[in-house]
Amino acid sequence: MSPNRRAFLKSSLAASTLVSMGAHTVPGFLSRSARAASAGSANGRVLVVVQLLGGNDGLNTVVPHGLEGYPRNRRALRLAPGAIHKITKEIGLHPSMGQMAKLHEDGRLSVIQGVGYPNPDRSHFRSMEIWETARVENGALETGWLGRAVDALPTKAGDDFRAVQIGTRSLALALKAKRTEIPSVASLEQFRLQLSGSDSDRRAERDALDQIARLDRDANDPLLGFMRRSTLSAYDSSKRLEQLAPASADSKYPTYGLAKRLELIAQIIKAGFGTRIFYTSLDGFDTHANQLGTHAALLNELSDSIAAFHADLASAGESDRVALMTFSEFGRRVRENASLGTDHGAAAPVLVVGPVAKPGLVGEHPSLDDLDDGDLKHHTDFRRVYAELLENWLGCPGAPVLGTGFDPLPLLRKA
Amino acid sequence: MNSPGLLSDPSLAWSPFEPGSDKPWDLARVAHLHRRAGFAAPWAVLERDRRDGPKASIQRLLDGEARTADGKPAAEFESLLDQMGRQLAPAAALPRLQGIWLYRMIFTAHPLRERMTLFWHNHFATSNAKVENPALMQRQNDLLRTHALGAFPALINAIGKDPAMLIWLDSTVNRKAKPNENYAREVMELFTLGRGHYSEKDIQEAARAFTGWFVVRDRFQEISAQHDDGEKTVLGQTGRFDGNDIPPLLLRQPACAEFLCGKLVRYFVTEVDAVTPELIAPLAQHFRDSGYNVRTVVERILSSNLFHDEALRRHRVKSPVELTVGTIRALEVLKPTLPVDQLAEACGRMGQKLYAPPSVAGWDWGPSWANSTTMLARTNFVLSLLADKERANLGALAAKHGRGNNSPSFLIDLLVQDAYDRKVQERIAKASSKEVPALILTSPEYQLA
Amino acid sequence: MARSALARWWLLFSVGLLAVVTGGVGRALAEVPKASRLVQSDAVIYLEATRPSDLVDQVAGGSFQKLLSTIPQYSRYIKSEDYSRGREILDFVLSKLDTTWDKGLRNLAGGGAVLAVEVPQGGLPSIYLLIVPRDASFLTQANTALLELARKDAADKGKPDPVKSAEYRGIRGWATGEKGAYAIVNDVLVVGDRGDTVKRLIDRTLDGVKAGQSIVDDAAWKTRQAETRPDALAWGFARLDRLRQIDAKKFEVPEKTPLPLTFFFGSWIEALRKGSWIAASLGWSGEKLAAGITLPKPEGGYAALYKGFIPPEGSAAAPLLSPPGTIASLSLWRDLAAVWEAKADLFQPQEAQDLSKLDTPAGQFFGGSDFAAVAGSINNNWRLVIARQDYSKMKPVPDLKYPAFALVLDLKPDDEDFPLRLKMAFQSFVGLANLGSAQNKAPPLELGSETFEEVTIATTRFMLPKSGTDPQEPVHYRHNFSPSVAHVGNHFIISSSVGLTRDLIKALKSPAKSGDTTLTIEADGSELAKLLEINRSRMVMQNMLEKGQDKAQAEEGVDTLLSVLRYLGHGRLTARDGADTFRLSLDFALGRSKGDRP
Repeated sequence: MSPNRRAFLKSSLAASTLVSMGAHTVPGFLSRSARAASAGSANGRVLVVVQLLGGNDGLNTVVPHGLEGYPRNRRALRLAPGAIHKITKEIGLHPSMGQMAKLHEDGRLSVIQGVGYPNPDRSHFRSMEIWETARVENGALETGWLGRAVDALPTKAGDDFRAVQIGTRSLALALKAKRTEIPSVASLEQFRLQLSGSDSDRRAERDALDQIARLDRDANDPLLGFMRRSTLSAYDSSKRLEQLAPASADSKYPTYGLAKRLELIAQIIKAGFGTRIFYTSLDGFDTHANQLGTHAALLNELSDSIAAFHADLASAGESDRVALMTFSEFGRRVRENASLGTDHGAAAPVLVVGPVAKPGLVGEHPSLDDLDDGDLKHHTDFRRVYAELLENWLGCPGAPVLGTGFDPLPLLRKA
Repeated sequence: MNSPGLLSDPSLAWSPFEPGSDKPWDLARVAHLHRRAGFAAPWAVLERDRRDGPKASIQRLLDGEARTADGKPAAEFESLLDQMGRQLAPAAALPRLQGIWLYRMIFTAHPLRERMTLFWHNHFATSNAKVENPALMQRQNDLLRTHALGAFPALINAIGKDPAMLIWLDSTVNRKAKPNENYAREVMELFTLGRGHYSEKDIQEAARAFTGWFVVRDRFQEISAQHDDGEKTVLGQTGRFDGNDIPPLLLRQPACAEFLCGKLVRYFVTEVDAVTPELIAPLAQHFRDSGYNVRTVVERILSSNLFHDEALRRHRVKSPVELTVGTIRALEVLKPTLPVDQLAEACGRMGQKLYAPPSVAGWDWGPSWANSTTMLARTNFVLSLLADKERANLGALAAKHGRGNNSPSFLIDLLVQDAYDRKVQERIAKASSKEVPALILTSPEYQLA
Repeated sequence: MARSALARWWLLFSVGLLAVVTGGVGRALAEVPKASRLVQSDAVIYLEATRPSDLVDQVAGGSFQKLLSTIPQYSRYIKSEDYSRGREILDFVLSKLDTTWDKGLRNLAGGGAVLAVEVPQGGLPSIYLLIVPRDASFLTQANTALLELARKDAADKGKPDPVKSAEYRGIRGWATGEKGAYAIVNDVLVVGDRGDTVKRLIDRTLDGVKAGQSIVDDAAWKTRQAETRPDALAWGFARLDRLRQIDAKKFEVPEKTPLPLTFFFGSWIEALRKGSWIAASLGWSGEKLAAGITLPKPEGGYAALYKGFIPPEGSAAAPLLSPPGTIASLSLWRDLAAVWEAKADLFQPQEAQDLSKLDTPAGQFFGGSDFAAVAGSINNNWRLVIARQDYSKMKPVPDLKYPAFALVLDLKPDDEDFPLRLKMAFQSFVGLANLGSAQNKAPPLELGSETFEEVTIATTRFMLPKSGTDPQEPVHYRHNFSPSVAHVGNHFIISSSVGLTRDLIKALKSPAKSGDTTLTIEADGSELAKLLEINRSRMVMQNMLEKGQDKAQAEEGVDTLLSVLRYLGHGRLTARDGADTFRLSLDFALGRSKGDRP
């Protein structure tokens, strides 16, 4: 164990008055007001990242139906202006995204247009790597931007995991960190205490387990005290989760896979775990052929799931401390191809849901005529979006994670 | 907290432990030895070692026993496991690979060797997340096991040619024209000397010595045409070194033995007390004098006053593998034992994924094992083990050892010995016999080693 | 008290259950069983034992007992406390009656047994069991012995007399515990769930059942009874429409079932959903085990939704393909285009949505077509074969041995274009896979071509490993596979191994006669056992890890599995859509393998 860790242990032990672990201090330590403390830093804000795999066609997501270039380039894939959910006179959301449009009306949606990076790479693998590591230069980088952010956030032994991936995929590169292993969680089961028997049996057993850890020991042993504290904190978290967990019968989420994952994230947030970053993904956006049906289905899943997630948090009073961002490794080409689909492109919009400062469109729509080899040109570097989320939302310095030179793009209100 | 006196008295600390009236060779000491040097022991073994005294018990741990935990011949078991690893590893998913090692740990007749293999796995931390080749990970594990209690010079030499290690460190290509410094840096910084005991120049020169070492299609290959045959100066020595010549140079540095012994002391003795260079020095000298023989230095540690000092008891946190395998061995859950794939996943939820340490520095030991999620995982492991009546029948276990009439006190003696203070004992005495095992196995005291 | 009540119920229940399938010897089917007459014509559930003695013979028989002893759950059960207590009582009674359990059963239930459930409109359901002994005096003796035992047991424990008895219309009845009652009326043992039930049956016996009131006069029952096979040991009949009325939650089938179920059984699940009755039968003799279920077609026929599931008059599933070494073979009539068209109505929303994503790869691989067009090009016969391979002929021989899989499609007769497209799609797919394996450091597939019996096979083969590889390293399982495709007449073979492709080409050249089924599946337990045995040492190791057992236990477990598979022998499932009914049959030729053993 490094000297730093020993120092942390000593200071944390002293600070939390373990020596006198009587009935007063323990609840105080674990009380709701200490949620901020257990979150480990000045604020308890949460970032949820939804990764769209395959390259989402931004042009048919945030549709510039009023621009002349749109119907010219999209014949078969053109979306009828009547069905589009208007944001401005010329630009609106795909017909399937009705719920998302409602979020916009409520002032909770920002659409950042024209996001990308210089010298766009049109390979799935490489471009996703760029977005996930926040590095455009060549050279293998083994940590992701969120992994580096987690490494930079101060942690004490005993703190909850700072970031969690939800889903069954292997851990995303964005979450690879140098000093910790960020867990990937598929279900709520591992956050529950797996007791068995009748309700009264379970309550009795839970109480007994809790009592053993809670009893004051005579001797003054900091390591033992630390283990006691961790055990009690764990039981408490599990209890909070079970009190909040809704019966699946009256879950208000649609049955989509993404909705289920967001539901799980909402439950963990509502239970007050100290996790700050959540990551999940939605696959299937690589629509080279027969795009219309597939894309509509995916955007429907995306929109309905995010809306349900937001509604869930709002009803628990948590929606102002959670920001959700969607991104994809690239957009798609302006002109449709011969198979009723589109091919890999470059710049695309990024959606942000939460307490946004300026609801609606952020930045101009990239020109449909001034193209970079048939693709939209970006005007906002994606790292500016990251910088805003890191510095102004999560309270983590951006430069160590992203490098210098990326001004945060003003996006979110700090409640 | 006052540091135990022995920590500041190196010569007394490393002197051999002699049982006496103020430090008897009792159940608590025997259990402590097995917790630290093995994976906890079942009742019969505790009783036997208590009778036979410290020297015999320590020798048995160093040499391994003749029979496995369920009474089969040891050599046959080890060769069956070797075959299992060879045959199943190539197509195995990670939990299966982890399971094979856990299965071995559960039944092995030589738990200290598995503890040392785990130590080296942490020391030479290599993760399948990057290597992505279970067969190579298994071969590295076999290599670590072969040298676990053997000669460190042979181990450090062999690991430099291990394909998994080189893939992990991005050292698969090392050309004459552009020497790859990765392995040279890590072998000094992480594996032998620690920071501050070498210069950048040493790394560059050592990298030249390693030129010609490649990993081609997952196999180690020496390409002599790519080897820089010139003179190099590393750590004050000059010569036409090649890769095989570097380890002896590293071992000549005093820092090497100190670095390794520091880690061994943190692994076997204490994770929370301050360990000074003065304390390490005699142990390091002993290590050097033995020609860097791991068995010798481990024997010294296990026989020392410091190791058996009551004041240092439970100054370690059981890692997930120690907790799970130790509980299984102590409670004799052997016929059958737990499905090992699930056991591997449970250890993963507790924060220890074998073959996938989080970084080159291995795992963070000690209190870092504990956070809300991992502590819940520990409790859930215990609850699911106890709910499995087919595998865990604690009443029968107590009866088997003649303590059927008072199984709570038997379990306390078996699992925690003297760790509980008065209030905890009273609370356990009030509990129903159904609850007692869960209370003991989830208690904070039981999490410590 | 609870103990003996439990034990008694155990005894009666197990006797009852066995009695349902035991009974007299050689009773001809045309005879209406004495007991059946007592059942009301509107009984909701009717179960009858038709050929009783034979079942006792089967259960007591050597091979079945041997099979039971190899099942670990069974061995554990007979060591349990419940079983030994029950056994004690049984042995006591048997000794009193001076008989053995199988002889006792034949005597007790020799004349047949019937279990029925009646639910009068607006009333409580009543369940009863009628057992007709071969030897009436035996029945009375058994009863006396049991009552004596119960009284003695209670007296030993200092508890009051547990037997309550009453008389009704001159017949003595007994109550057993809190629920249930029984009586012996006219040499028939009547066991009912309540006293009222037994009383009603006594009435029917003494007063006779009016013509038309008994189930044996019911037209539906008569038809179903006539349909049961002569060698059936038991059969049953239930009125689904009434069951649904009574308890919708328990008996209603959900609107939409998961995709695999719907795809294979969609129309038949619909029949279950809408059908007014269901009938089943069970036959078991020596080496044959046969079960069947019959359902009526829905009133007015199937909805248009199910067009893709039912072959029209004159069509049926193609004959099964069974090249040498076949472990399992399937043939299904399914109009994929029709199913695809109706997917939004057939499948759950998330599944239908996932399916629409198939349009994209369809476009990529089939040049712009969407999935509906692809489905439209495939004819309605689908066949699947899983077969053991000849591993000695492989180069290199893989360490873990897999079977080969093949899908045989039927194509539209004059379509020249689609088979070419399929072949192109296959080759593109191989190309893509090779790009992927380069990233995983796996060897690529070499494309090749072979002519076999005048048919061109597009073959692939994994690149051979370099010489000089570590001999200790096991050969990767990918070398089991050599994916290949071939176009034979109107058929298209997509197979995982070129050996199987060759065998199928031969089989397709000499087609068997067509049948009349919609779905046929055959599986051969001993062929599967042969394959597993080839992989035995690996299976043992995996068993050790998966179950935490030691080597000896694992070997035992694997050998048990192999012997169960061999015992099950050859099995066949068929589904037939007849004019008015749907019939599902399951047949096992126990202990035999198709083909090789005489």
